[in-house]
Amino acid sequence: MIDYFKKNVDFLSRITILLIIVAGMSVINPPAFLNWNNLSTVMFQQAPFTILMSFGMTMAIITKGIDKSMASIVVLASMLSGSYFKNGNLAMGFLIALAVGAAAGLLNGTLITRVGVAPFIATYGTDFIALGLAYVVCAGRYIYDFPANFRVITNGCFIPSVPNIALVTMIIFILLWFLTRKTIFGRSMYLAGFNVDATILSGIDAKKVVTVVYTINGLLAALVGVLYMARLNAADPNISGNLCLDSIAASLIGGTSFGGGKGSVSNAVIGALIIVFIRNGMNIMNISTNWQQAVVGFVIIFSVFYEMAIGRLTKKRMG
Amino acid sequence: MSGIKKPILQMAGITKRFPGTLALDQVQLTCYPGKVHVLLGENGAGKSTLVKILSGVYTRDEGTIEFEGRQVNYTNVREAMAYGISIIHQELNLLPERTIAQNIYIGHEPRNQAGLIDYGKMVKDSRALLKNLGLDLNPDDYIKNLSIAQQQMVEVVKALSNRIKVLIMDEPTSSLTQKEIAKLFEIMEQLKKQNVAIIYISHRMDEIKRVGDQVTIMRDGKYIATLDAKTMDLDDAITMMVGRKIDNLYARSYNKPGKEILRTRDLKGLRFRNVNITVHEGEIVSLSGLVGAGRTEIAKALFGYDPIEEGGFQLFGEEIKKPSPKKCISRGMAFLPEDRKAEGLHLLMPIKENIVAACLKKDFPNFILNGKTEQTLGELYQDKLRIATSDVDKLVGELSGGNQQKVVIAKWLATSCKLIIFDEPTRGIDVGAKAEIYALMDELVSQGYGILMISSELGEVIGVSDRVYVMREGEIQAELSHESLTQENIMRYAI
Amino acid sequence: MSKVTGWLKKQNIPGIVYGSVLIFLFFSIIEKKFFTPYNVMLIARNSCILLTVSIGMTMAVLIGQVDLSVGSVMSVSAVMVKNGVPLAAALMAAFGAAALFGLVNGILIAVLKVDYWITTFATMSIGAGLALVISDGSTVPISSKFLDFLGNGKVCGVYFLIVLTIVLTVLILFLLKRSKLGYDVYSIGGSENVARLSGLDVNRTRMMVYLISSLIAALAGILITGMTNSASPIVGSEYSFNALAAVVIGGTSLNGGKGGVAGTVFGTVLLRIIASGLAMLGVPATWQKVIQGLIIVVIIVADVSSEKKKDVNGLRRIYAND
Repeated sequence: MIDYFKKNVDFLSRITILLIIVAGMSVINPPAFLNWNNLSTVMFQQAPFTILMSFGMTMAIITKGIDKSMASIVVLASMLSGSYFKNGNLAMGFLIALAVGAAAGLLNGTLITRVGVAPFIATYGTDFIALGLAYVVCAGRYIYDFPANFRVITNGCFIPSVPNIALVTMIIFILLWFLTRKTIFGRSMYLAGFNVDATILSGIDAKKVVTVVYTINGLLAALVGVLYMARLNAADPNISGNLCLDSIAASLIGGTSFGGGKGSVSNAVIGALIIVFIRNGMNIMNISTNWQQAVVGFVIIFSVFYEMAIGRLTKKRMG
Repeated sequence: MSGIKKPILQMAGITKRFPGTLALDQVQLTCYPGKVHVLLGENGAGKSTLVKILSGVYTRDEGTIEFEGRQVNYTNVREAMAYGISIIHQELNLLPERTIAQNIYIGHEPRNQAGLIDYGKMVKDSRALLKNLGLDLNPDDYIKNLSIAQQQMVEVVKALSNRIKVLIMDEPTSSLTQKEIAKLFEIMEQLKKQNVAIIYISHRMDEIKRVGDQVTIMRDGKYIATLDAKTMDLDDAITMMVGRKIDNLYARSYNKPGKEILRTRDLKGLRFRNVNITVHEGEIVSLSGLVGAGRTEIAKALFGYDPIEEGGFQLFGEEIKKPSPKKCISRGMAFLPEDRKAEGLHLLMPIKENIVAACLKKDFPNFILNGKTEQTLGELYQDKLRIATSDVDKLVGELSGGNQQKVVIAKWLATSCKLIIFDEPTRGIDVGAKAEIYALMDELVSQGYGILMISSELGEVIGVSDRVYVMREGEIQAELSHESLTQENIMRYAI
Repeated sequence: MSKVTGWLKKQNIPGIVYGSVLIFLFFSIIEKKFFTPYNVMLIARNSCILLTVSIGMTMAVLIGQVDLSVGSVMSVSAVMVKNGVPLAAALMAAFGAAALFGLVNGILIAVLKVDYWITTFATMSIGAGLALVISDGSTVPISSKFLDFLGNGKVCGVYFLIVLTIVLTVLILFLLKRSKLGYDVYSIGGSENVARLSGLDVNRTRMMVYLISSLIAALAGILITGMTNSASPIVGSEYSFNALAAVVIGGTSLNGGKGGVAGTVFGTVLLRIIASGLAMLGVPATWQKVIQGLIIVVIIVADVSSEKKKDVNGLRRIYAND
């Protein structure tokens, strides 16, 4: 038991941060925070999107990279697939959206591993182009009012009283947890994140592994695009706003380290919840949305310091 | 000149710890103006660490430095330079995208009255310095266009451009040709006349008597003795350096070599050409030569990490086209890199995960990891190689150098390899662990493995090899069998 | 003639210069109105703000890093200008805030060794948020004769803005070429390790670079406020990416230590020529962005691959900036 605590002091401390934020909100304004309406909105309508995005961001950061483009892939995928969903052609819609996501992810991966562009710049470029294309596709015409059989993807309850969006997030979490923790691919991803040279010299095709990671990110982003569209009942290129910043902040505060290798999809869930509750808390306290971006930016810097402090603490324990 | 001068520099009780190792333990060093003081010791004895402390690159944990009779406590290179302590590093420290003049004056550029950099003066002074040392180089040329030897000489000029009282030379001759070495020794004579104290690190025994006045011997981070260079006995010095009779360290049972497992054909790559070597089952073959002779590059090319420009090679009789680490491993080759921490290990991952890193595909064919198998494999090799740890779940970074090296070896034994390339297998490892690694290598070849070893330590090369290829400037100069191995024999071809 | 080509060779002019000239000729040929004094002046004027920001970014890239926060610093300094607040106080607040951003970046990156991407990304987000907070999210018209002169005034028929930008460019060019700071920037960018072993104060130089980069971005924010006669909290939002693009297109290597302000001038002008040409050809605004993005990515890819070819160790790396 004590051993378990010692080994997971980092992860547990992140959960503690989450609990402190939730507890803090419960004390500051219980009626507004602690009611089913608010909590269910946060848990089932806001958190899933941040969590799904943070999965991808976390995996990119584990490989010592970053994926700045995910938010724009979300938008592009939804703009391109929107009309198919509108017409009730769900299969085609999913196919288009996922193809867009995979293509953009593959482009990122190729630029980074084969051409050798720094991850931030490569994905920044994809980000710029994808968002531009989204506006081109949109051309000022917004698609809204989707058929019910599409909207059910997020709002329906396949399992009674659990909205489908939560179910989907849960399934993706289990899939990714298994993929990253229990398969050769996942192990290779961590190996590459900790030490690329040693990984290649161990006969693992690290470049392929990293490319696949970015492709998965593209697919995740496309999925988020479709789900977001179903939830908002509209395809709108302006929705990408906070997704990128929030997922980066979530990954870092969740315990994924920018130095590579450290972190996991479970960390991403914790981090995403922290960010979502911070935003929710600020809404409840009537702090203007203008402040929120700055605050999330500060969370990134705080995470970096927290990481340093935790690192020092655990090192002491080792020595 | 009076008989005995006062020392310009006295280091005493110097101790330096790095995570996991005690790099220096109560080391002392005393230097006199106008004298050359040689530091002698094997790789990892702490010579480089000591001079890096002296030049301000590292800060010491304990001990005192007395310079010109006063205690000094500098913490960085700049302050050390201000005292007139300058160093020529073992690795080249030049900026390839800048000119010779710009490199020489980096950190102490000549300025005009306005405080702006005076490029005219910089070029003029550089030209004078270069000419003074008899170097035919244009100060406006870019470093990237110079040969390695020329760069090394620029490095010397760079150190001399400071106002120096103590000059540290860390293996300056390792990549120079005879002509340039002679030039360097001339420069040292000039400096001695100017009362500069020189600290000289070299592996070449022949140089010690030629240039040295005093010799300090170090071993495993400890001070052993200081001798007079002119009167000391070389064999005694070597014994002190190694710490025991060389015969005890290496246990070899020379077997009859078996089938051929590696044959290269006119291999050409980054820093080597026309390389034709073979390795057989049951033998340890060494590539010997100076640092920069192209040995590591051959290994990396064979393993598919560096490009092969011409030629090719056969592994177990099969021609390997377009080698990659993945392909080479699947065909039975393994490679222990010289830089263990950067290229061989995942320091922040558990021991068992490091051990299975190269055999994931083989041992988990259905793509899914199995914690039990992993644990079993980890413990199996922990037992087999006597890796000293309580738990294979511990991080590799917590192990000592020798045990880390065993983890790398375990990683390769867990694959189905039959040919192992050991690049500097005992670098940074203490003597006890060294003997274990040698015994292990001997055991492996007895079981039919073939080993290709790259080593800069002559004692090691002589002690464990069945055959040795001696390299110089990218080409094989000679092939020696173990009966004819002596230091002199190898150095004759290496220099 | 051979003297001229010889001189050109010696100057080590990047391909970008020839590229800019070619694209300029291309647009001049297919569009009559392109090569007119009016349009050339317009391009020059439109280049000024981006060039100003890019100069600061050039220094950050030369030292082997990046400053993503410049766009947000622009926004923050722009919204410091408010009607009713004395201009001098507003300017002091603008530059003060910029200095603070520069110091925070510098301390985090140089002293605490935090990754520069994540640091400047965080300060970028903070800056963007603070600009919205300060302005309450709205763009307000500004009437200041002084600022209007900075942005729109003319001296002898030439926009003062152009003169100012040229002066600044020459100043930084001189700083990089002849001062100790510039010399150290190139040395550190070439190899941090070599710089440290040669006794350079790497941390202080890094901090100076981020400070200068921020202050220049603040100047750009003030200038654009004058040019548009309004203070907008999102005015700088696209400048970080465009400035980085202008610097890389201008031939300054992302590995640091190579390139300079001269290339950045051409990189900036090239981006603006393309924008102007596309607009004149009637390409819709949305497509213009996509095409510009594609051009930027293609040039960066070309730059990175040519660098990699020269680098024997390139094969060993997954990332260009390790």
